[in-house]
Amino acid sequence: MTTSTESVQTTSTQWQRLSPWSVLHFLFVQLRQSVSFAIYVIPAYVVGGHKLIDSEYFPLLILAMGAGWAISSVLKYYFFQFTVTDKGIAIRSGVLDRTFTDLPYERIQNVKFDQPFYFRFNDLLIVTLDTAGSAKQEARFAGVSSAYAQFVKDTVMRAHRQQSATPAEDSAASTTTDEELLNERSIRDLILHGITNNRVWIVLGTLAPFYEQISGFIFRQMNALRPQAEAWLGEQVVALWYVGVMSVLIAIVLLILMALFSIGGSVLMFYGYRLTRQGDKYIRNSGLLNRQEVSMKRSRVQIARQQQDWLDRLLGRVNLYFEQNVTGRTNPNELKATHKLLVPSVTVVESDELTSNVFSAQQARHMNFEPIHKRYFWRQLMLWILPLTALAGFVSFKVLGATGALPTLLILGVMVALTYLHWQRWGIASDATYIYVRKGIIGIDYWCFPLAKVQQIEVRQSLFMRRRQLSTLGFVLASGRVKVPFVATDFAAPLIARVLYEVEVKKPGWM
Amino acid sequence: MEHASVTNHPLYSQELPCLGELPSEPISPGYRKLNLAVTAFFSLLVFTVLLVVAYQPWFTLPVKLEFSLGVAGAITALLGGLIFTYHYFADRLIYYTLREQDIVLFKGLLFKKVICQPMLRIQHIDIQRGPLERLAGLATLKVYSAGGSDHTLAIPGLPEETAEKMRQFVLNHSDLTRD
Repeated sequence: MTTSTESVQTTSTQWQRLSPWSVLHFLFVQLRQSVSFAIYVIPAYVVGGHKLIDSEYFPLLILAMGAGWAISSVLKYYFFQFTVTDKGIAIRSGVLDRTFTDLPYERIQNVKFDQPFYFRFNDLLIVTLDTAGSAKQEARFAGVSSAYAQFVKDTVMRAHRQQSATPAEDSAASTTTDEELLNERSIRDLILHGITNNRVWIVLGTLAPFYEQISGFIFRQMNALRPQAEAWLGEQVVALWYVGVMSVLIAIVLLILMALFSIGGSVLMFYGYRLTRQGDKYIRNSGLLNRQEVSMKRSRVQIARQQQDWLDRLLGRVNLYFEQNVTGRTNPNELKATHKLLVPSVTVVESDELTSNVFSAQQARHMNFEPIHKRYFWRQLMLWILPLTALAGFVSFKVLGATGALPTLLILGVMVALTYLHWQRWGIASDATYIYVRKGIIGIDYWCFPLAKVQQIEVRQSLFMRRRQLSTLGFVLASGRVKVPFVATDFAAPLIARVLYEVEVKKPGWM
Repeated sequence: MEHASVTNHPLYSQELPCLGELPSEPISPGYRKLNLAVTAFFSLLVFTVLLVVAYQPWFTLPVKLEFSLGVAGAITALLGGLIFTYHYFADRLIYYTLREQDIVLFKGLLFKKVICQPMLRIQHIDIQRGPLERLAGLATLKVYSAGGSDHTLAIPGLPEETAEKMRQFVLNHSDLTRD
C-alpha cells in the first residue's frame, strides 16, 4: 500500500505493483469461482467420491486446495504490474496467460471506485477504468490506497481536460477540488425506496452465477422426494381448501419475504448515499458492504429521468436517473452499471433541483405538454384490447358459462381505464434547449434531454397516421431512444427542424 | 463554436414537413430484383425438395409424414409468397438523400419510416457486401452513431461505386474529424 503511494509524486514510467493486500482480492475472486464449482463437487463427493477418497485424506485435500489458492493469489499479485505514464495506463497481468492492456487516456471514459468488504479495514480500493469499447476492455486494479486511486483519477481527468480544447466554461471550476454535497439519503429514505421499488432482483442478480446450480438442485430434490410425497398425500385425505389456504399463506409469506429482500437490497446498495459535485463531475458514494463510487461528468449526461410510479406518487417520492452513453454492452446489473446515476427516492422538490443542477434552467415540471393524439388510445383499443378481451371472453364463457361475462367486463374495464390514463399522461414539450417528455399511467415520469445531444432522428408513420397528419417521433440519444407516438405533424416538423439545426449547424459535442 | 462557413440550406426552410418532401434518390433497382430472385429461388428449392420426398418412387411414406409434408409445403408457399409480395412493393420505396450535414433514409410500405443521421454524430461508417450482394454488384452502407447498434442507419442496395463514393464523402466530411 505504501509502495504505490510513494510513487504518486514522481509519475514514473516504471512498472509498479499493487498493495500486497491485493492478494486478498485475488483470493476472494478465486473463492467465489470455487463456490460455484463446489456445488457440483460436493454432491458428487457425497454420492460416489467418498468411496474413492478416504475421509482421512479430506483435511489434507482441503489444505492442499487452500495452499493452491494462496500460492496462485500471490503469483497473481506478483505478476500484476501497471504503469501510469503521461500518455495512458498500461497493465501487465496473468501468470501463465500474460495479457498486456494498454489504455490511452482518451479511451478511458470513466473511473470508478469500489470498496469490497475485505478492503474496508485498511481502506483500500478497487479502481475500474471504463473504456468506450467493449466491456471486456475495462481494466481494474484491486488494492490501491485511496490517495493513489484519487491520483489515478485526477491524472485521467487532467489528461481529458488537456485534450478537450474547450478551456471556456468548466476548467476553472474543475480545478478547484472542493466538493459540494448535493444529496444524502437516510435509512428511512432507503427503506421507502426498498418498498416502492422492488429490488429483489439486486439480491437475485448477485446470485445469478448460481442460478443453474440452484434450480438444478431444487429440481433434483423435488424429483427425489416425489414418490414419498405422492405416497404421503395419497394416504392422508387432504381437503382441497387446505391446499388452497396453504398456498395463499405461502404466497403471502413470499410477498413479505420479497419486500424484506427488496428493502435489504436497497439498504445494501445505497447505505450512506452521498451525491456530491466536484467541479464538472457528479460523484455517487454508497454501499453497506461494498462501498462503490461512481462518477459522471456533467457534459456526459444525456438524459435526466424523474420516475414516479404509483406507489412513489402516493408517498411523494421520485427516483431520479442521470444516464450517459451505453456504448458497448449494456450491463443489466445495476450494482455494476456505471452509465446510470440513480438518486433513490428523493422528494419532488429535490428531484427538480437536482435535475436543474445538471440541466440548468430545465422546466420539466412546469411545461405545457402537447398531448399525443387521441388516436393513440383508439389504436391501442382496436389493436390490442378488443382482440384480447374477445379471446379472454371466449375462454371464460366456455369455462364459466353466463357468469363469464363478469371477468370479461372487468378485464375490459381495467385495460381501457389504464390505456386511457396512459394516453392522457403521454406528452411532449420543448423550449430553446431541452425536449421534455411526460409519461406514466398512474405515476408520472418526466424525461428531459437537451436538443443538442440527439444522435439520430426517426419519424414513423403508418398510412392512417399520414392521413391524419400524425407521426411517431424517435430521438436516439447515446443513452437510448426516446419515443413519442402520435405527435401532430404541425408540432413535430418544426421541432425536428430545430433539433437538426441545433446539432448540424451549431455542432455541439455530446460527450 | 461558430462556423460561419457552414451551410445547410434545405433544413430551416418551410419545405420540411417531417423531412418527408426532400428530394431523394432511389436505391438500385437491382436490390429489388435480387431479393425477388433469392426469395423465389429458395422457396422453389424447399418446395421441390418437399415434392421429391413426397413423390419419390423408392419407398412409401407413413400417412402422418405425408400430411406434415403437405403442411410444410403450404407454409413454404405462403411464406415465400408473402416475402415475395413484400419485396415486390416495399423495395421500390427505399430512398435516400445525402445532404451537406446529414444522411436521410426513407423506407417502409405500410409504416413509412424516415431516419435522419447528422454527419456530426457519425462514429464510423462501413460498407458490407454479402456474397449475393457481391454477385449483383451491390453494397450496404452502414452508418454507426453513439446511439448503439440498434440504431445503425443501413442503406441497402447501393451500387458498389456509389456506396464507396458516399463512404468517402462521409469520411472526408469535416464533422468527422472534430473532437
